[in-house]
Amino acid sequence: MDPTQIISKKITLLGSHAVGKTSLIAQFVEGKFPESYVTTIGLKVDKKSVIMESHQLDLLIWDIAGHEDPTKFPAYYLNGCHGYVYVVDLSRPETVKGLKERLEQLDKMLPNVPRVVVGNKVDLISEADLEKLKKKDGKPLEILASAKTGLRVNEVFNKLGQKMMEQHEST
Amino acid sequence: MNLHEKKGRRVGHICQLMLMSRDGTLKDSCHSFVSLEDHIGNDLYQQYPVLESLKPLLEKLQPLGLPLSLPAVHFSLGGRRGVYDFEFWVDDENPSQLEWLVFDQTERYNHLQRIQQQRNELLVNLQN
Repeated sequence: MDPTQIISKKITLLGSHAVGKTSLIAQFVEGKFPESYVTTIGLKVDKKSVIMESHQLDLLIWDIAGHEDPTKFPAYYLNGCHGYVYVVDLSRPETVKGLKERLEQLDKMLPNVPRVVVGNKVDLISEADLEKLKKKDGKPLEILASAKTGLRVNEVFNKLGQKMMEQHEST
Repeated sequence: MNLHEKKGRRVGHICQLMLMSRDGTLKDSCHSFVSLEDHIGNDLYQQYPVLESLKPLLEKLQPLGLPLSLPAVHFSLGGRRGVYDFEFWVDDENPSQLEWLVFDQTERYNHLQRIQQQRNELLVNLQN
């Protein structure tokens, strides 16, 4: 189906350093996984179009340096953000600790902005640990993905796209 | 050599000024470190996703108002890949245009990146 309308949305990936934000984008945009860890400084912007129902949704994806404290993200990175992906590293419990509080802070900073919370590196944890994570209350992880294997990476961005489209159509 | 020429000699290789219309068309460039002759008339919003993502903010810029500043942008300007600081203003002589100033800070940010990389690797190792 030819898209009838093109809609551009700026989305940002947030989370602590080395949780796999850049890798998730690389896997989604280029279908590649960077084998070595390269710290992101500043900002990189990628673009990928997805078809949502009868619309073409152009995702303008901001990849920024990681920080565990959401209040430390410079305002100019979040200004005009239509949606965001919050990423934690399932193999590093420190990045999951305090997640609920961090998301509450982000709710205040970005009210009514759709988000998806992702546990990345699911390929690095055991089935037993995975079951524990699923059963734990108060862990608002929506998708357990792996940038390395590509598992559920498209789902992350499609889910955020759907949430943004629902909001777009309701306004 | 007058002061403007001296200044150009010192910062010309890292600093380029471009003029763009409000709809994103490249109108002119000083071509200081990269020639954009062939890009004049191009739609910058279509060419550069980072500018497309800034469009709503650029549309809000006011004459004589504060500039929009964005540091450390990984970007390829006319094929010259680097890490740049961006600044945008409304052209005070022609408010239908924006001035876009680009500073090439690649060396500085690469240095900072190496330091940050070491710190992050250390932290990750401590957490593992």
